[in-house]
Amino acid sequence: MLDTTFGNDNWVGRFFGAVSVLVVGLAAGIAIAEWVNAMPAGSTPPVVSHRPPGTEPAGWELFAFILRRNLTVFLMLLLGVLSAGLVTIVVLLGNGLAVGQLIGFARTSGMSHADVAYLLLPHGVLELGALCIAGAAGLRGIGLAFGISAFDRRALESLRLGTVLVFGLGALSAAAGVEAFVTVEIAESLRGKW
Amino acid sequence: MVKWLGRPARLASLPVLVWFAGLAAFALIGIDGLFAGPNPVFVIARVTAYVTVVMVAAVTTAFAAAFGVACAAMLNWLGESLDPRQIVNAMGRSFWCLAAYVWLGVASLILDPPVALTVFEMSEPDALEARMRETKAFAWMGQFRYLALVGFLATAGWLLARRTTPLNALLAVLFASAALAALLTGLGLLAGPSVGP
Repeated sequence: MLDTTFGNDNWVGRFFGAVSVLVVGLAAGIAIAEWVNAMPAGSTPPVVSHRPPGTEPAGWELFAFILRRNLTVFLMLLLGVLSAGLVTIVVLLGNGLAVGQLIGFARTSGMSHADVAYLLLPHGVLELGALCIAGAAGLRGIGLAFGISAFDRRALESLRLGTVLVFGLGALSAAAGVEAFVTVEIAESLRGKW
Repeated sequence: MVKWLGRPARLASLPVLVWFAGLAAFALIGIDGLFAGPNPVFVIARVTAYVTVVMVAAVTTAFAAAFGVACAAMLNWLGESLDPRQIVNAMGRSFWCLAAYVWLGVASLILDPPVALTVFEMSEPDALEARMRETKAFAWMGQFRYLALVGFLATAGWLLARRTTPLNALLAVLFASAALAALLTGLGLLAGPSVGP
């Protein structure tokens, strides 16, 4: 059962399961953004930032903030192991919804598909890929819940939590680096374009 | 899964379902009361709040499961031989305390519903917190959350003590509480403040 990564543990199937849940969330988020945008605007308050100008986080400070946040989500996804995959599904859907709304509102405000892709893809592929790996581990909780009477060390080892954690830390660090140092530059270059 | 686990698991899942129904009712009344109106600002706030409530429900069940795993680990270390289904049963039935707490919250929200925020209050950073402090049900829920938690721990300990020695059950609950507190503190420290640096 533990012979290969692609063996009976079905890591690949669970990874694509996690990707599917995320994609459902993304689609729902985009649909919600378009639904909200189609509503009559009514009277809305002006959007004001409560942060003093010039105090936006940048550089390593931003890197640390993004990495901490993403690692928290990563660990939450692993809690699916303990909740029959429930937390994993809900957190993946929630994150998909958030990213989907972001994409939807960016599109409805006039941003081109190419600009949305420039802003999201460089770090998003690594970040969401790592979260889907954690999602695949969390979805293992469904199988564990069915076999709870036979839960033992072998079942625990099949989770490969050490490998998942090391991979997650590496991938999310790289993604946070790209987001803090590359995506910010891209966003600056796009400022005022739309 | 419930069918496979048999009657004890069905008994254990009932309080979880009652708790979840209460949480859903509390969320519906509370969220629709605070963010009432067709304005897109309220629609976005309602969607975000509903998603947050579902996440809270899922994470709470995961923490209860983590608590059960920690109890099982401690009991195993103490030489007790408990079937994992007995742990699931104890954790599930302990949810009666949380269910009672949430349904009392629903009753107090019905008696004293929150006053809806205006669209202009939505842009104020502290308006939501202030409105929640003013609403008796939210304040009541905040004050008594530790009582509900203590009820959960006491019920879990009592149910485990029926299958093990009372001292071992107490040690298991104390160990699991410490483990869960460490997990929650660790996640809180990792996430940091809700506002960026």
